[in-house]
Amino acid sequence: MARLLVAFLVGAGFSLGLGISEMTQPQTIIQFLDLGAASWSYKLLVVMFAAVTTYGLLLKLMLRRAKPVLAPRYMIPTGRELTKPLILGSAVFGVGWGLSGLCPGPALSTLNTGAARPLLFIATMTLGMWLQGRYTQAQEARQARAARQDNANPNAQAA
Amino acid sequence: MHDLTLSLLGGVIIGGAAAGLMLFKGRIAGISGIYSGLLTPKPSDTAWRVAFVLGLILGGLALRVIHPAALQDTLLRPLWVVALGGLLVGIGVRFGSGCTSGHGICGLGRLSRRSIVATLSFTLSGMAAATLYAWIGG
Repeated sequence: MARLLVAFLVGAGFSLGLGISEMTQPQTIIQFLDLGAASWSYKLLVVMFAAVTTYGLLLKLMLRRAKPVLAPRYMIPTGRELTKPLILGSAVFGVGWGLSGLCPGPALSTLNTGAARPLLFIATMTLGMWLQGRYTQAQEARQARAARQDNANPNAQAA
Repeated sequence: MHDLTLSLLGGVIIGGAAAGLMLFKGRIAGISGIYSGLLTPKPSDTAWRVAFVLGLILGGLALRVIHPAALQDTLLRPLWVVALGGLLVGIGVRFGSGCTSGHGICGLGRLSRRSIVATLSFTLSGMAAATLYAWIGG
């Protein structure tokens, strides 16, 4: 129960922060990303700076604890490899972000308005996530099949 | 309150909330990752994701009282652009393992090499897309 409460409060806090800083307004995002905008704004950078600094400092303090308060261990990604999916996937995400002025957090924060755009965005975003999942699954199945065939016929590669 | 003060305050709240998830659950507050985990539900790993997403949605509801301006959409992109944008975001964040929260805030906050590169990638392509869209006459 405590874990659910924490997750809920973190989600709510995130929404409030996004809202107070007006990152929930697609216009604010586009005013930063559109370099030709007459009313170009660096607001996004200020918000990012404040959020990153706060998170970084708190992280340094709290990692002195051996483990999280309500979980057995920290789950922090340790990978350092710069892969093609990381770079190209992020670039595709950026194009969607720059076209719509929305990313997952702000879209969820503004769902309550009942307006068409956040709703539509969440719907097609979910579809995109699902399609990516299907693609990855199919890819893994193909690789597993190929590996089995190689094992069954070790001379195939030499030929 | 001054615009800049609100931006800083909002940023501090976002950073604080993300830190809360690490302190209590030991997790990165990556919104796309937490949300997309709901598409492949596992028994012991679903309830907290639902609670987090509900928090985001209901926190947004509270904005009606606290800061109504936050909920105004003055950009009003054509619906097909929003739909296409959502699709690209959904595909991209899963291949790229994160979005503005997971890579942009948590990743940069811990100086992760992968997150720094991902953030550069989506910021540059976002700038290219938004600038070209305006240029072509959106």
